[in-house]
Amino acid sequence: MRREQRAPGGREFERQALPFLDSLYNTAYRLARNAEDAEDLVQETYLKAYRSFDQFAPGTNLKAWLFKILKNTFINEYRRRQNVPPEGDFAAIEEGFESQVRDDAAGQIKNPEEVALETALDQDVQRGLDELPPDYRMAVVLADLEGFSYKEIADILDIPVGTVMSRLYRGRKLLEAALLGYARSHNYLQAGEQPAKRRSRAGAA
Amino acid sequence: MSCHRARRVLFLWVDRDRERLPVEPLERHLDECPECREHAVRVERVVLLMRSRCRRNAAPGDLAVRIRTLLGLDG
Repeated sequence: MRREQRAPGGREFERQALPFLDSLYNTAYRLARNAEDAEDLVQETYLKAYRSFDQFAPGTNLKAWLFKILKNTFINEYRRRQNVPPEGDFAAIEEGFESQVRDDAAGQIKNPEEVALETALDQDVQRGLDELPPDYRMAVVLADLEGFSYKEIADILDIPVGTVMSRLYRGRKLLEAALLGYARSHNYLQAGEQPAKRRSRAGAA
Repeated sequence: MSCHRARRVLFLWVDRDRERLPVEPLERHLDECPECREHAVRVERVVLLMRSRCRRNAAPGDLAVRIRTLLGLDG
């Protein structure tokens, strides 16, 4: 990347924008899923933000503005390089989860999900989040790890608030389904604990 | 409120503190429906798990220096 000439507003940019470095990096890492791309992504974000800092309206939300640049940079330059599974793959997972929910509602068995979530390993939670489809992962990371409001997320991602809600709903549901899947693979859930319907599905998988 | 409707808007309850949205109709349903209440608690637990278990990836120590250099702010 070419080194910039120092602009008059440089110190002001540095004072206002650099405090968000850790937040941006954390989110970049969650999006790119590796340190090297995350660093490139953050540097590129700061470079673009610096070049267009005169377009930022003072008094508005600088953090959200920087995150929006990060998101656009990720989508334009990184996402296409990465192996992004098509949405269809996740529709099947979701349908599986929905039917599991219906089974739960029908059954009166104390559900093993509680046990699974209580005993989830840190690495499982990380992996579950990392494996979410990028659109859902972005919404979940911004809401649940960075604490942005629905409206801020809508602004950052350029989508309606209703879509933010639906991505959060689906993203969190998929994460829960993933955690249950990991728990099964770790044998936290014994076959005897599972309702019959679910056991037959697990056997078919 | 029906269970179907309640399940679709559970995120409002999970995010009730941050969003300050009116959740009274949903809250009333959750008071009357243990299944939906359990569902809401599960979604909330996933969110809390993420917040408590997802390690924050701190930026490498020299990244700020590299950015200052890149922007010509190191002089």
